[in-house]
Amino acid sequence: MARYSDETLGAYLDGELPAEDARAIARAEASDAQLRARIEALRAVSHAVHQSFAAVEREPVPERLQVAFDRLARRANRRSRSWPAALWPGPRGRHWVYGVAGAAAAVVIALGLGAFLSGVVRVNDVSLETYEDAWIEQVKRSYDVYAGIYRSEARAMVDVDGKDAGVWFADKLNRPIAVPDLSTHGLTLKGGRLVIVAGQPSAQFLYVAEDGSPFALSVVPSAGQDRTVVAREDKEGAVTLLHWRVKNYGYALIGNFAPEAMRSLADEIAPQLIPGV
Amino acid sequence: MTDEDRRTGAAVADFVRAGMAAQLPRLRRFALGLTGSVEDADEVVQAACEKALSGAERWVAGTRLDSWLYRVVHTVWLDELRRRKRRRNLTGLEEAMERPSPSALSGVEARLTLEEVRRMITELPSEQRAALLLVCVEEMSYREAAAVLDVPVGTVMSRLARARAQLAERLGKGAGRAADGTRG
Repeated sequence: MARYSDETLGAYLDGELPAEDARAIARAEASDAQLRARIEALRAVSHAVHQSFAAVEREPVPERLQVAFDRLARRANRRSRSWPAALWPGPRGRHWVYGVAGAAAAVVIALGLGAFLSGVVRVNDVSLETYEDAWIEQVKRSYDVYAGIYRSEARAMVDVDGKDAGVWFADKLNRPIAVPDLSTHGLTLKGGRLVIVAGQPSAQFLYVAEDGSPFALSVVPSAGQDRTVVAREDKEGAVTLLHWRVKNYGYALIGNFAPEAMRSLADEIAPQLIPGV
Repeated sequence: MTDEDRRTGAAVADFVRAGMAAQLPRLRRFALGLTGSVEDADEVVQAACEKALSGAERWVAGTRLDSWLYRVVHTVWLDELRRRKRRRNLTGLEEAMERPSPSALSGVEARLTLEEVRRMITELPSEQRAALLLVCVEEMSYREAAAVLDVPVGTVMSRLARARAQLAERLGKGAGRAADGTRG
């Protein structure tokens, strides 16, 4: 067997060797059964290790940990904003989201993440997949909060009224945005909320159906191939989630609709939502 | 501190907070690999969140946030190991504590399962385990893993090589047992 250390073979498998060295090992591997067996054994280790943890990332974060994280995040949020609210743009003493919106903009400036301003999200090190997963989780969580409060108090927790939502979110998301009128589907617009996902602002428009059930449309900047449509339904109980991505924006609908009805609704409103179309 | 400084500080804190929320599943996976226990992993991630959120200003803007978060998780786990070692006042407790008991091992199924692979990983020395997880599970480059672990790239390579060699031997034996239909 050619004399290669396990360090070198590991680097070969991990793509960390210079191209010339990698080619030399590949040639040796073709003619050396012992070397080939060693490489296969090490490759099997990498595969087994990767596979043994692959599913963990897809597991939901345990509620206990999520609750603890949310509590810590709220505490940190209060601490980082322990100066007069008047320093922030927006109405005096307004809800914290104004501060977050200003902060998100400041992040863009401070960190040089100018991509956001061009409508493309490159959240430093957060991959698109992770980002979109986080967004969908956020859509679900926000909907749960909205639905819970609305059902118990018949009150929609909004940051901006329906009539002002378009202008307000156009400013926050740096793009023209139409708030679809869904009244023909029995949905009444209650207003909008700003939701921060991986440091980026996203809009959530809150509606109420005729039967009193909450419904939400979310819009988020999301880098990806233009005109690529990604749709997925995640039916949990009576709630259907459907989301897609087009022209660097992601959209999600969530509410008490049958999947077929949700698809038809999405088909109808999707063109209205795309800027410049 | 100027108002602008404060705003920037708050913006960075927001960024860290949001980035951490998005990374929670991956941080938890890394912690599970380090600790070998779901309960310990969640405790470590929670402690790491607290540490990172209260010290968000330590993250250097422009560097990778996820690498910094992994580093915080790793540091918290090493601190926890040291704390446990001190508390029990036993030399070499880390190994004894981290490894399944012989009786536990004797109950291992002959057939290789993902759970068994995880158990084998848990038996590796913690520094080898961390390098292996960062490269093979989190798919970091050697340079990125070295930055998280705060060691030279060469050290990552040697730790990886030792970890892989041990696992290759054990996986080979496990596969042999599985083929024989025997228990080890």
